[in-house]
Amino acid sequence: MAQHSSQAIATLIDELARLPGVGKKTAQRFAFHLLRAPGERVLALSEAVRAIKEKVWHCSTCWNFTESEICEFCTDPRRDHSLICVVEQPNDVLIIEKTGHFRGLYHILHGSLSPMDGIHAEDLKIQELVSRLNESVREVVIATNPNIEGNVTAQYLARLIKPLNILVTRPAQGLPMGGDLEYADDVTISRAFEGRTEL
Amino acid sequence: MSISQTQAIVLNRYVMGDSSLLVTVYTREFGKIKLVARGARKSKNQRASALEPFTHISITFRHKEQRDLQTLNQVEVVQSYRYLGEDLTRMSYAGAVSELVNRLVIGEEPSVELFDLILQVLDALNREQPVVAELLFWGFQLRFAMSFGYAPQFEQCVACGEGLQEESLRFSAPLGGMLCRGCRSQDTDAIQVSLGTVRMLARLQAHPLDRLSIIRPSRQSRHETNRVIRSFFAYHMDDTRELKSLRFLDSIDPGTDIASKTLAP
Repeated sequence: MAQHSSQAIATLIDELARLPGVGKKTAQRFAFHLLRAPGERVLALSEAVRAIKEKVWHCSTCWNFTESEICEFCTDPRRDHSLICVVEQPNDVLIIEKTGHFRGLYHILHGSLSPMDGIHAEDLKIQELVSRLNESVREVVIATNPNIEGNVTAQYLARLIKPLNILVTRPAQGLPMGGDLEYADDVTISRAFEGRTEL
Repeated sequence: MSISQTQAIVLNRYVMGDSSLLVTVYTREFGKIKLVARGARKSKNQRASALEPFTHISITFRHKEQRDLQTLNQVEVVQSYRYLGEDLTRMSYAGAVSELVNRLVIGEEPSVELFDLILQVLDALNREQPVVAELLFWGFQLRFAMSFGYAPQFEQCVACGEGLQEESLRFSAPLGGMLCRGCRSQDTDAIQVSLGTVRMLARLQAHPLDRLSIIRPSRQSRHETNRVIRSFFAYHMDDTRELKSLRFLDSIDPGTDIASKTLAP
């Protein structure tokens, strides 16, 4: 990479290139865009970046990101507090919320169990989940990703939660909307048939 | 550069960038290779499920000699072992198989025998009850060592060739087998093993993997077997690191033998 005439530009490019999916060239384009942009736009961006580190932390109940002690989901009386959906990452909450179909609470594990990578239960927010399962909780939906690590995490959580007489469920797995049977894989098709519903 | 086609078993995969996967596979014709599967995580791409660990696949890839990373073109599932992902014990032992192969096979060293062995053990772990998984893993370890040319001797004394009859025997990793009472001075560090465990080790080595479920090891035999196998791997294959998958299994199920978690003597 060519040497820059300004150390400040070089530093900005280096920092931007650390972002996921951003290579050196893209970082350079971003940096020159910011140089040309009006001062207030650039300051607004820098203020927004500063604010997420100063004002955002984890909800002490569900471990989602929030600006208060307890997040807006956990304090919302209109949501079903007897239903908890367990997800791997805060991003997953946004995806489920976009559907508008789930009205319960969430719990974010911040990862999934991975035997081969040595990620154990104590590395995730599992103990924090168990400690919030009181008698008012009737169902826990384990919406970890449908891959090996997500399935292991679901199995492990089911073993912990079922003895507490709480219903443990997993979202159905099957054919995607707009998909085509011809291109679906064997495991997805067999799971879709196992989870078939009456019309 | 050439376009190559082969059968493969997925050992592990990691997310690379936004939507790609870095996949380690053991192939029938090329040994262990690393593949980049671009865009495999996008929902409209059907490749992600084929690239889950322990899946038997057929692949086409751009093969560049002397390159660490190859590019995946096409993948199709030959066989997916779905029960491995639905049970913690089965999955942990399948993970241990994958870890061991990934760790001890350095690169493109093809072995059809090893490829078939990995398929056999994954198939057996998928089909048999989880309680048999430990036996299957021991059977796999002994055959895995054999595929590298190391076959420990459990039928007779490795020094004098006499049959093994007495109760208190010793296993010598450097000599590669059992020592009878008369020969035990040949290795003063040899591990004490009961006759019952020696007979079980001989069966684990000789019987097909799908016939190991009839063995019912005692607590003592489990402990001794783990010590024998790990000392053998430590000496002959220079492998003393712990298997993370078995450490995981012990963390969720403390009933498993603590010795099985690590290969360190």
